[in-house]
Amino acid sequence: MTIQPIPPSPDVGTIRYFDSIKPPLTQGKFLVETKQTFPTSVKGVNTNLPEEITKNEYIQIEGSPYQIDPLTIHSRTPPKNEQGVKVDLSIPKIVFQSKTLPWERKVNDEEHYDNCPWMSLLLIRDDEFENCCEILEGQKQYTIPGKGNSNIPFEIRVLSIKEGLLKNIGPTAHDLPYLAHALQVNPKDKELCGNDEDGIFSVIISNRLPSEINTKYHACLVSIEGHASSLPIEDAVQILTQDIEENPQMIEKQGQKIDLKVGLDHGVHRITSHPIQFPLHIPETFQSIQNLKSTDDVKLILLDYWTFNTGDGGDFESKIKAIKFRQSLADKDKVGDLDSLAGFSLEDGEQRTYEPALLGSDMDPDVTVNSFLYTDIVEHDGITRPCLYRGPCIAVPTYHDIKEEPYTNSDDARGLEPSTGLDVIHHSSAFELGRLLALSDPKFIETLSRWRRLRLKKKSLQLYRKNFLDKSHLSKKYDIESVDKLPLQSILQKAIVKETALPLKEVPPDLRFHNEVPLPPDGTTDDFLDKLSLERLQFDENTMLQENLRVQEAYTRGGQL
Amino acid sequence: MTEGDTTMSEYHTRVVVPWFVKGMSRTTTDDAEEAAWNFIIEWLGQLRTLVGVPFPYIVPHEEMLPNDSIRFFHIDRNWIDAMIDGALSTGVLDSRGALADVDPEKRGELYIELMEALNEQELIMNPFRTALAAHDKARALNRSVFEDAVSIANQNFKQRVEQEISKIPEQQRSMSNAVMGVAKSEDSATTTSASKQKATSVQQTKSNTYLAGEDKENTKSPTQLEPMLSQNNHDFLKKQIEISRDVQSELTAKMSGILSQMTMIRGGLLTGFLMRSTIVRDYPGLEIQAYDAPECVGERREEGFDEGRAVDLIRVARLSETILLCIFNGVPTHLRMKEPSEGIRLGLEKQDKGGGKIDPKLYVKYKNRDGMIEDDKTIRISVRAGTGDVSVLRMRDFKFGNDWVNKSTTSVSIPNLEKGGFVATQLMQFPYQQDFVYDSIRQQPIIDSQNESIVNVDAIRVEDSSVINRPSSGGE
Repeated sequence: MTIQPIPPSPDVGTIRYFDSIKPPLTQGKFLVETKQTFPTSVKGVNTNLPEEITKNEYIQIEGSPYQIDPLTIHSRTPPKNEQGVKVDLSIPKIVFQSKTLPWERKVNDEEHYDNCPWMSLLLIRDDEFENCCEILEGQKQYTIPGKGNSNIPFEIRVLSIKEGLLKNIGPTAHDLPYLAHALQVNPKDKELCGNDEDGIFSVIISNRLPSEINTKYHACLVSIEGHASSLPIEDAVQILTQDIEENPQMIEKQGQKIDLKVGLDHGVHRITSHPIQFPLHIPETFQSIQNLKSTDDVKLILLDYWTFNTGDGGDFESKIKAIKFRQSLADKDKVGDLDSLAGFSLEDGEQRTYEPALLGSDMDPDVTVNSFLYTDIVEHDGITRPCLYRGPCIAVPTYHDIKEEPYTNSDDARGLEPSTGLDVIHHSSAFELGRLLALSDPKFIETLSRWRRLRLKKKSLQLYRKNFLDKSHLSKKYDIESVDKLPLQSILQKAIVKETALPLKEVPPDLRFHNEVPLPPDGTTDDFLDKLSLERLQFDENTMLQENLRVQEAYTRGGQL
Repeated sequence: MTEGDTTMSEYHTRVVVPWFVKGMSRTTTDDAEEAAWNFIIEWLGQLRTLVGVPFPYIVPHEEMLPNDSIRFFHIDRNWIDAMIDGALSTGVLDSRGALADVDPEKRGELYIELMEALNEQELIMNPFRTALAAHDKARALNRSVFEDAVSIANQNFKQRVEQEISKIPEQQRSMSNAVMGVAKSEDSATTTSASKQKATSVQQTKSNTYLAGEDKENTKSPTQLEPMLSQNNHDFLKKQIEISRDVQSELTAKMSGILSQMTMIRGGLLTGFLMRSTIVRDYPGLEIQAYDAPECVGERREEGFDEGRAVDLIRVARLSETILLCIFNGVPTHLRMKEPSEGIRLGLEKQDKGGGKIDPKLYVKYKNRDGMIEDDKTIRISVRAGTGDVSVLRMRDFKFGNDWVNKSTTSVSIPNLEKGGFVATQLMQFPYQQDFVYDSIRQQPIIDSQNESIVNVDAIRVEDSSVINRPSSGGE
């Protein structure tokens, strides 16, 4: 990754653009040199090892030239199989999750192509595609020009396109660096946040616009690696110079669409809402399909392919405006009409009042104001009875009433609506669902059982230890916290030391010198200490070791006293 | 503070964001029982956000969520509790019950403890999102204090890291920089050779730029690769972690005032929406922002869309190809849905010449480095002849309209875009956004407001459920 470190996410609403993002290692062979040094002797013993060993290994960095991972494709614009894509001078593009994909390979080794993408998005009109293109599926052999023939271990797709058409619509070498970029956005408000933490995408745009209405277009993402010579030459490209006449038929057709959008298009620098009005065909230097068909075929690896149809809508704006609400009118039935905001407002252009778009309100059939659905339940006796159910997502807020204890079974969770006598099954069905979800995850079941086992064991041990210590003569010499945390042996040893040290405090220091080690008081019998060795509790070894050392030290000191 | 400063980037990535993430994560433990308990909490926390709940349980009737619709909801926590109870009920064999205690009082205490733990867990289901949200909220609360604190901590971090780098032998230092991602010096960032990658950020009123530079000088030939995991680098890595920890402590102290205002509501109302539309499939990465500003209605509604009043997103998930579920921690009054920024439309304009004639060249209005449109300046793009339509663009025409590379910049470390990045900035169209405010529904491309309808607020009413639970059947 050349971006080291990954830049922080831009502010919400901000896009950060990059000309290109190259992978940290470019294609090619890299030498990895490893060196290890050894000591000649260890503790005076000769190791008979060489002082230094060096080993070189080559690694090959190569992205696949034949296909791209479909999961790396984030989005396609216009969307795949979209119908009615608005002809609005918008440029088709494909967005990748991978930030470096367009620059991972090179068209060829010339310096000009250093910052160029190795892929191109060709937009082909349906009539061109039908006559001049063919998709060859299941190819296992492909020759990248300049790289020899290669057998591919998997099947790939190849676009066979007439050279004349490619020269007509393909990008020139000078266009290429302008047809790819990368961008970074703030991922906080997105679904993928956390999966794609840096929020950086790479984008390939087409050099061609869909400009004809009611036409099918084919978007082909192709590899142009090794095909620099097949691309159009800048000097040979002819440019439109004469004014273009508008097509009256198109104006009429699209005028209807403008009516639908009355009052909705007042954006600043926003051209996308106004359909363009180009003639269907421009005679200037138009090359007929027949001419193009007579040229040679060029075979390009097809990395992605989708189609869409132009028409009178289908973009983000049109789709979100089609979101449906229910209209609320006092004199209408309880269940309101369902239509889009634009649809309702078109009736007379007046502002209307709508019911809030709540999930499961009395605006929906068979649903109560607090989201209960009148439905049926098949009881254990096989008889179907009416009941009320509602899901976890409801139209009204509810008070979170935490129970004293969890439900023990689904019958426990069953409710009753007193005025109608209907069973209310939402909690019992939720209970059953939770049970089934848990049972479907063995890891959860195992962990839950383990937790119960460990908890019960801990509780039992606590009880045992408490009883054990209570019965001993040392019961007053330990604190309650240590009962839970330290092994019994440590507690007892500490307590013994404390108990034996206490009487000595009262002995004057000059009289403390004697050779006898103070023994534990009566009652701390060998039998008692033997029990300690029977303890097989889980404890930290280090803590145990330290405790033992401390006790030994204390005893030693006591002995010297 | 300049966001384009690479050291700032370094600091944000290595210190600030992890600092927020750390605050959101559950602590790890060596205790087996506690570890198992934590796993249970995590698993049940997923149920709290409806992970794994079949769609028919959420939407029991098709007409509740028709095609092309959006429906808002409150989450019934009692329903979720019942589901959690069901999950806990598995494997219960004796009277100690799901919570493994003989004493009913202890079981009750543990159940409350579980609920409180779940209240916390549901907020950190996606720690990265929560951290980013907390980061943005902290900055919005007091931008100057936040940025000063970050700037000072950043300087300390940079100085101390550089001191550590100076201790590494010269021949291994450059690789340490590369491997560890240590901030590149300002000098290297100012070089503007054509081989470098450049970036910019275009906002409506300002620009942010960032150099993602790859130094030719630092690019190693295959034989120049140095040992990457030498002892020095290992020590450096450890030292860097220590420095990050120290600086994070300093940051905590400096921002204590802001942090005290950032109380996250736990166990409060959860709300959300379900959207059923092909938008979900065709526009992945839809941007959803929610705000709680009940007083900002009518003419003041724009004030409600303020980062400081943002309601945290707990979960955004596609339940199917065309159904999107979104859950918020709180009750937002303002909701904004935006076209994904990465899929933002790129488009041109045509020039009408009158008399039914159109100029053969298309154009874009020039946007300067601050993201502002210069109305008197355009970039004209030629269209290729011979295709029978007006479609194939001569992209290199953008080169002739690019003044970015010739302008002096406000910061020497901010480069200019030259190629694809520049084209994108010029072609980008403002994203379409859909606003939902609780007293109205409004559709707009950023700033116009022509289509608005009022929601019947009276219909948003609270009714206590009249449902009573049957007495316990005693485990029949």
